[in-house]
Amino acid sequence: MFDLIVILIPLFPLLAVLANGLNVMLGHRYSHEIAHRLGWGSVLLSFLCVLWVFGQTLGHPEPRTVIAYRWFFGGDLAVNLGFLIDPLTCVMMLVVTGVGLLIHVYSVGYMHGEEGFTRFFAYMNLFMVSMLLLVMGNNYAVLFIGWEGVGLCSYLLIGYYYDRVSAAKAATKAFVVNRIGDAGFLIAIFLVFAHFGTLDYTEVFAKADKLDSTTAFAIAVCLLIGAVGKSAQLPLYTWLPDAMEGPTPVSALIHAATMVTAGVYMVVRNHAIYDLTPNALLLVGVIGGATALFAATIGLVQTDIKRVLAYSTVSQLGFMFLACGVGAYAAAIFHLVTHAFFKALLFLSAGSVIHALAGEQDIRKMGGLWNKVPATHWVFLIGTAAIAGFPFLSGWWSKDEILGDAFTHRRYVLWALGAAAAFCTAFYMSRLLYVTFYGQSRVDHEVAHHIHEPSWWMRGPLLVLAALSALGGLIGVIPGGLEHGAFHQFLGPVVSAAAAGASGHQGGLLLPFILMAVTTGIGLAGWFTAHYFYYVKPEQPDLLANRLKGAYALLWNKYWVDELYDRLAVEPSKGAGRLLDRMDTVVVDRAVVAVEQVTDLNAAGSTWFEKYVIYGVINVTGYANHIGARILRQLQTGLVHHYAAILVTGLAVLVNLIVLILWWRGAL
Amino acid sequence: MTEHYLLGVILFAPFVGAAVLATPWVSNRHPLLVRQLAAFFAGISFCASFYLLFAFDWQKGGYQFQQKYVWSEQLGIQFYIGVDGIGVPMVLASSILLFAGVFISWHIKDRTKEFYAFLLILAGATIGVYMSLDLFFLYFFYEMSVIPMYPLLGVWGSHTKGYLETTNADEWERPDAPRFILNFARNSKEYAAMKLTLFLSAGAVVALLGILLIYKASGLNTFEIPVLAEKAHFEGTLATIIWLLCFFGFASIAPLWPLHSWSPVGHAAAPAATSMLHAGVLMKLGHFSIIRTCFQILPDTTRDLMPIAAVLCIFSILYGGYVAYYARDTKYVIGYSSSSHMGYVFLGMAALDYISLSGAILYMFAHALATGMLFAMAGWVYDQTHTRDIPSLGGLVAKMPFVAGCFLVACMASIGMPGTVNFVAEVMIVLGSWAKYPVQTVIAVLGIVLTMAYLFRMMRGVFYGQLSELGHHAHDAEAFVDRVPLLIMIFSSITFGLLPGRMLDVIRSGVNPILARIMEVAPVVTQTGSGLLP
Repeated sequence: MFDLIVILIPLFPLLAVLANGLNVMLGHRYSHEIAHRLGWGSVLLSFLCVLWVFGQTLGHPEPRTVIAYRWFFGGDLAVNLGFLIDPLTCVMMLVVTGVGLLIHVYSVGYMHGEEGFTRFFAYMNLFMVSMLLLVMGNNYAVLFIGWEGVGLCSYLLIGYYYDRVSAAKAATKAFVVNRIGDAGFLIAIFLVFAHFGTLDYTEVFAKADKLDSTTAFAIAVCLLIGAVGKSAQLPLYTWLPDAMEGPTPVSALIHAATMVTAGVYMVVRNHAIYDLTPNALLLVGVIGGATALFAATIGLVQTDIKRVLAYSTVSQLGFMFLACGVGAYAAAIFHLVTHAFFKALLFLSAGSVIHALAGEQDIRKMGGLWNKVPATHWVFLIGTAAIAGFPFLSGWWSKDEILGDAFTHRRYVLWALGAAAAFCTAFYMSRLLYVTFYGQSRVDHEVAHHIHEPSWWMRGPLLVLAALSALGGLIGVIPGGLEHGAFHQFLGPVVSAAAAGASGHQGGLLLPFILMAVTTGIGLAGWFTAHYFYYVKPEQPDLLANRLKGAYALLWNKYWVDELYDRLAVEPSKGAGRLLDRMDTVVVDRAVVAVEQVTDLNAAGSTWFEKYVIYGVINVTGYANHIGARILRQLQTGLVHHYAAILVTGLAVLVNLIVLILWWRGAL
Repeated sequence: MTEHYLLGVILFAPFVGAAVLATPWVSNRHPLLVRQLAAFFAGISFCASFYLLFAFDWQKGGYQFQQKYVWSEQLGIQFYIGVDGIGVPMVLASSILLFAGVFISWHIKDRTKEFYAFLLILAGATIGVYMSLDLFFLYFFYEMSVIPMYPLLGVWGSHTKGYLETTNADEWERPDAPRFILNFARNSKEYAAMKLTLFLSAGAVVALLGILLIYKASGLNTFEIPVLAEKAHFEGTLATIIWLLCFFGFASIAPLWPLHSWSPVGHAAAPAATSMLHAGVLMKLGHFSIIRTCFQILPDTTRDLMPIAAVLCIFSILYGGYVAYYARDTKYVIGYSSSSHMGYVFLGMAALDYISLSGAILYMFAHALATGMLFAMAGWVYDQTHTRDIPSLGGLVAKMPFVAGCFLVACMASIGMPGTVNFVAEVMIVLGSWAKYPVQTVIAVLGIVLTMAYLFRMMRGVFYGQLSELGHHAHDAEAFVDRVPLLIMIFSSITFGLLPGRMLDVIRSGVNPILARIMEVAPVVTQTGSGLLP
C-alpha cells in the first residue's frame, strides 16, 4: 500500500503529460477545459498522496525505501528507480506538490486563451514529475534524472514564447549554464561511485565517515558546482534573471519556489559528506553570503518587476546556502519552505499586475495601482512584508534563524554579509512596492482603462499563498520556540548531526534576543529608507543616482558579468571552432591529396609488379581495373547503370582477395 | 526452427528485397509499389530483429542462432553467422534505421527503385557485418556496405555548403588538384562521394592486411572468429602490427580522429536515409569490428595498446564538438557531432571495464537512434526549405510543430537527457572509465556541455525566432508515413531509456566473456606488443 502510493505520486502527473503531450502532437483532439483539468487534477491527486505519505511518516520518521524497478546495471553497478521516503523528502514533496498545485490553478486563469495552452500544461506536469523524482530519488542517478528533467522543463518553459528571439536565447543560456554545473555534479557522482561502489544514499552515507578528507572535499566541491548552477549562485547565476522571459507562473513555480532550490536540497541531502570537510562547508557559506549581497545590490536599481524578483530569488537562495555553510541545515530548509510561500506569492501577484496592465513589466510605467487592484495590492504587501523580515511573518522567522545561526557559529563575516543583504532586501522590495502601487500613476492611457482584478482562478491561489506567507513561519516555532518547533523536530532525524551542532553553540539566553532585535531593526531600517526615498521624497533617487553615477552604472549593468562571460567563454569557443575547421579543410585535405598522390605512385608500381611478376593474375586484375577506370571516367554522366557497375568493382576486390590468399598460401 | 533461420531472415530480407526491386517487372512508373516492396522487406527484418532481442537467451550467453555453411574447405572460409550480446543490439539498430529510412525516403522521386535497391543493400550488408562470425565474410560485408554509399551520394545526394564560412564560390573550386579523382568542386556531392569511398576503401584495405596476417600467422587455416579467439596466439611485434593494422583500418570508418575527415562531408552530401544509416550504424562497424578482431583475437595486445584509443578519443570528442559549434550547415553540425560522439564509444572501449564497455555497446545503439532522428529531421527541413544553412532558417516551429517537437526530443537524446537510452549509456561509459582515465572522463563530461551548446544553437537557429522567408511554404510531417519513422525512433529511444534492463542483460552476456579474457589472459606484466610504443 505504502509502496504503491509512493509510486503513484510521480505517476499521476506523468500520465497527464502523456495525455496532454499526445493531444498536442496529434492536433488537439480535446478542448482546453479538459487539458487544464488534467493538468491541475493530476497534481491535486499526487498532493493528496503526498499528504497520506506525510501522515505515515509522522508516525514512522525512519527512512523507508521504495523500489519501482531495476533501471540499469553492468559489471558491479546496479541502479534502481527507487524512492527514499524520510522527513526531508516529505517536506520537499509537500512544497513541490502544494505550491505546485496552487500555481497550476493560477495558470488556468493566467494562461487563458493562449495558443499553446495544452502544451503549457504538458510542460508544467513534466516539470512536476521531474521535480518529484529529484526530491524522492533514493540514489544519485534518480536525483540526476530529476535534475536534468527540471532543467529541460525550465528550458522549454522559458522558451515558451518561441517566436521571441530573446526568449529562445534566454532558454538556451539557462540550459547551457546549468549544464556547466551538471558537469560538476556528474563528476561528483563518478567520485562517489569510485569510492563507494554504489549510488544509493543510504549505503553511501553509512560509509561516508570512512572517506578521506581530500576525496570528501572533492566530492563536496563537485556537488557544489552542480548546486551553484541549478540554484543560480555566484558565479553561475546569470541565467536566472534572463529566465524571466517565460510566463509568470513558470517564474513562480520553477524559478522561485521549487527548481532553483534543488541545489539547497542536494547540499542538505548530502550533509553527511559536507560535515566531513569544514573547508567545503565554509565555501558553501561564502558563496551563499556573497551571492546574497551581490544579487541584492543589483536588485536595488532594476526596473523590470520580474527581474527585481529574480535577483531577489538569487539573493534568498544565497541565504539558504549561507545557512548550509554554517551547518544550519534545518534552518536552510525552513527558509526554503517560507521562501517558496512568499516568493510564489510575489511572483503570482506580480503576474496579476502584469496581467492587469496587458503585459507591462516596467515599474516606471506603473504606480498608484493600490486602489485599482486592491486585492492584488494587499497580497503583494503581505509578500513584501514577509520577505523584508517584518516581525512575525514567515520570512522573519526563517531569516532571523539563519543570521542567528551564522552569528552563534562565529561566522561573523557571513553574518555581516547576510545582514547587509537583509537590509538591501528590505529596501528593494519596499521600493518595488512603493513604485508599483503607490504615488502617481504612470500607466499608459490605453492600458489604464482596462486595469482589472484577475479572475478567481488566479485570486484563490493568491489568497492561500498570502495566508501561508503570513502564518507559515509558525510551523518553525510552535510549540516550543525555534529549534524546538514542530518543523525542526520533524526534520531532526535527517539533519541530526547539524542540529546537535546548532544547539551546542548557544551563547546564553540573551544573545538570541539581541540578534533577533538587530535583524528586525535592519529590516525595518531598509523599509524606512525606501519609504523616505520613494514615498516621502520621490525625486530623491534620481538625484542620488546622478551623484553616484559610477556606482549606479555598475549596478544598472549588473557588474558587466554577462559581457565578461561572453568575452571569456563564448567568443574563444567560437574561435577554437573556426580554427579547427580551417585545420580540417587545409591540413587534413592536404593529407588526402598527398595520400592520393602516393596511391598514384603505388598504383603505377603495382601495375608494374602485376605486369611482370604475377603474370597469371593479370587478366583478372586488369579487367577489374579496366572497369574501374571506365566508371571513373564517366562519373559525371550521372547514369545509374554506371554506378551500378561499381558494385562489380566490389566483386573484383573479392576476386583480388582470393587471389592474394591463394598466393600467400603458396598455391600460385 | 526459428532458432535456425532467424538470422538468415533478418540478413537476407533486405537482399531479397533489393533483388526483387532490381527485376525488370518492378518499374519506376509505379513508385508506390517500389516503396511498398521496400517497406515490406525492411519490415521483415525489423520485426524479426525485435523478436531476436527477446528470443536471445542471455543467461546462456555465447553465440546463438548460428548458421554455418562451408564455402571453401581448402581456404577455411565458411559462411558463418551468429550473434552474441554485442551483435544483437546492433542488428536491432540497423533494422530499425532501415525500416525508418524507407519511410523517410518516401518522397524521393528520382529513380526510386534504384535508390531503394541500394539502400536495402547498404543496410543488409551492415547487418551482415554484425552477424558474421567469419572474418572473411565480416570483411566481405564490410566492403559491400561501403560500395552502395558511392551511388547513393553521387546520384541522390545534394551539394554541401557551410564547410567554410566563405560565400565566394570560387574558393570552393579545386582546379589545381593534381589528379582527376578529387578534382570536383569542393562543395559538390561527387567530391563527397569520392572522398568517402577513398577513405573507407583505404581503411578497409589496411584492415584487410591485418585480417590476412591473422589468417596467415595463426596457421589454423580458418577465418572463424570463435576458433581464432580461442586458439590463435600472437606475440611480440607481430601482434602489435596486426593489432595496429586492424585498429586503424577499422577506426577509419568509426571515425577516430584524425581519420574523420570523410565523415561530415559524406553525411552532409548524402540523402537523409543514407545519412541515418551511415551515421547510425555504418560508423559503428568500425567499433564492432575492432571488438571482433582486436579485442577477441588479440586480447593481451589490446590491454597494452588500448591507451592509444583513450588518447585519440579525446581529440575526437573535443575537435568534433568545436567544429560542430562553428558549422553553419545543419548536417555538418550533426555529422561532426556524430564523429565527436563516437569518441565516447572509444573511451568506453579503451577503459576495458565491464560497466564502460557495456555502456559503449549500448551507446552505439543509442547513438544510432538519436543521430538517425536528427538526420531524418534535418532532411525533412531541407526538403521543405531547400537549404541547410542555419542562419537563413528560423521560426520553423510555427510551420512544423511536430517536426520541431521530434527534433527537440532528438537533441535531448543526443545530449544524453535522462529518460532516453543515451543517458544510460553515457553514464555507464563515464562511470566505468572514471577509475582508469579520470582526465579523459572529465573532458568527456565537458564535451557533453559542448554537445548541448551546438545542438541548441542549431535548434534555436532553425526552429525559433522569426519565420524566415524560406520557410513560408514549409509543411509539417502530417501524413502517417512521414510520422511513423520518427515515432518509431523516439519510442525506441525512450522505451529503452526507461527500461534498458533486457538489452543490458543481453549486452552483458556478450561483454563479460570478451573482457574476462582480456583481463585474465597472460600475466599482468608482459612486454608483449609494446615494442612499437614506449
